[in-house]
Amino acid sequence: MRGALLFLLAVGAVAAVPHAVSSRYWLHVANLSLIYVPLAIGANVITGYCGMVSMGQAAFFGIGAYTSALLTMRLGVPWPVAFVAAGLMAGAAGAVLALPCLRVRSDFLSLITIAFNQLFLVVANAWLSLTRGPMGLPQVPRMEILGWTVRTEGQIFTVVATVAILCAWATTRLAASPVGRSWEMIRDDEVAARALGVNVVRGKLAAFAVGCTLAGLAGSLLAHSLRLVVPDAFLLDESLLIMQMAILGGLASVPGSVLGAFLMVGLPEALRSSDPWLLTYRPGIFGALLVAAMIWRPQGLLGARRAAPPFLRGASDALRRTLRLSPRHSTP
Amino acid sequence: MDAGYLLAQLVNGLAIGSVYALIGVGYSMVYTILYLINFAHGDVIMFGTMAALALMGFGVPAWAALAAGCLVGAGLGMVVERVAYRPVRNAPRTVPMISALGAGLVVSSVAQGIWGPDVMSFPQLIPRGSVELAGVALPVQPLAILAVALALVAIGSAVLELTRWGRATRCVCQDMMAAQLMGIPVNRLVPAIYAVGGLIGVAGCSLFAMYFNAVWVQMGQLATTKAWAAAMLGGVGNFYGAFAGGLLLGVAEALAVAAFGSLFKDGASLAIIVAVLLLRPNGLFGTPVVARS
Repeated sequence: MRGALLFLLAVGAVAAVPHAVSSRYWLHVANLSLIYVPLAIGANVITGYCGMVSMGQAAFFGIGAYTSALLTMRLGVPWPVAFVAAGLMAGAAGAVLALPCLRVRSDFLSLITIAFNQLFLVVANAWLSLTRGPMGLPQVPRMEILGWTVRTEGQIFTVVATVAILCAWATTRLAASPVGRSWEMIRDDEVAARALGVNVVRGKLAAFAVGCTLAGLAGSLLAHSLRLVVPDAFLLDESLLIMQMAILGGLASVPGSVLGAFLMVGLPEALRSSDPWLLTYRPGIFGALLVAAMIWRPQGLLGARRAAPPFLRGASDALRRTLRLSPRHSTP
Repeated sequence: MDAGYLLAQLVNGLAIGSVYALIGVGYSMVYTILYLINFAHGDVIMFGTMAALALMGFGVPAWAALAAGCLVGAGLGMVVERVAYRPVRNAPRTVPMISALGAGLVVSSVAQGIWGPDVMSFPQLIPRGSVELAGVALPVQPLAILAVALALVAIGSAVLELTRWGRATRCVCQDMMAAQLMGIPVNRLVPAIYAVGGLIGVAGCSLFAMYFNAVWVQMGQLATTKAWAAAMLGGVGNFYGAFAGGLLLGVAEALAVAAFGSLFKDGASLAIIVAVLLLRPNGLFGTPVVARS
């Protein structure tokens, strides 16, 4: 019932906003934020639901963008097909990348993802015949769905918002399914999960692949709405920003990720014209919030209390102990 | 490809590898003790190097500026430990990792606010040029860098092997709780380890800056990958292993450049990380780490 109501509300908003908001600028800000929604949700699947940290989401974002742009430009593939292919490509890349680390120790995964992001940038800048290097791919074709060409910011809003809602809906469903439950089990206690027969490696791999697929889908949206793909859009800073959206918005909370995307992309973008200081110092400001959040509110802004159990609960207790200056602590 | 070119590449590789190792020591020691990937380390050592450069700009003698930069790195490492790690030391591993990253972002953002985002050049304190040795021309600067790095590692290992603090550190590496029960002041030792990591790291980062004649805010991030590849190759948690791993990585990169071109330089470190994870997860010289829950 509540779900149906939310769905109707979402459909109404998607239909109404392009007519109600006449300013192209505000629609652009909304579109950019909405493109980051699947990215933030993807990072949340990896970090919030499964307890791993990926610091290379921008690379998968980029893989999606390049895949989609190149497929439509070079091979003339229709956009919806290229969109799906972008997601699959990024997801497959993520799975291949994660496989060696997950068998050993998942905290090395975050290192590998950093290295992968740097490697992606090197390849994107150097493989001139495919990516045109730093010049990027200009004139990416517009999105076109069954003969309907997406031209204005308002039309882009309709598509981008629809995708964001579908991603949010699918992730919510997935998180409530046995797969999602096993992710949370792995996150909270890996040893116990294994003892209960959960296939830990497969679970982590699935979470990583889903997270990267969502990033790839967002990449396709970016490529065809900005109509330009350049390597500089996928720097490591971008990865860190995506990760921060997921964590600060709320771990294991899909609405939290949506909030995170709007707060961290929309707000600085909206203030850009008056004074760019928020964009310049965004990493530092949100970095400080990250530290504070880890100490006082590890579940993030909208994260459920349910999301903070054994996995995260220790943090604030540890702080209380520290403030009492008790020297007692155990091995990490 | 003649032998002289190959030899020069080898010396270059050893030099840059020793720099990776100096940076990697900080990561490796913290990981051994706290099972924490210290993502702020790269930014801390970048900040120290920037501070040294700024002091040189004010006319402070180079040696004093570098020493001060190292101290800035050490101090900043301790501050980061106090603010971002100690409150969450007992939390599950993801939590300190994220707060470490947040602290690193703050440090790099402050650095960008002070020094701007541009690439700056670093004074060439060790002259470039080459020296004739037994009929082969060898570049001077890499040899000097290698010598400095070897000296620092020798001092570090002497401290680790011979002093009370060194023994306490090795003890904490083995078992933190037991060490604490034996009366080792863990809450003083852990900041000290962060400080030493920052100190050696700034030294390594300054040599890195000199070698490439470039300092920029993001250099910490670049160093992170390389230093971790070095530490993992040698075996995380092994002081000498990190050094040997660094040298091997440097040589591997130099050879990859010599054989396939400069594009493959950064690929070499990623390939090495993946290969080590697949084939020998504990590194070449490491001992297996038992998983604790």
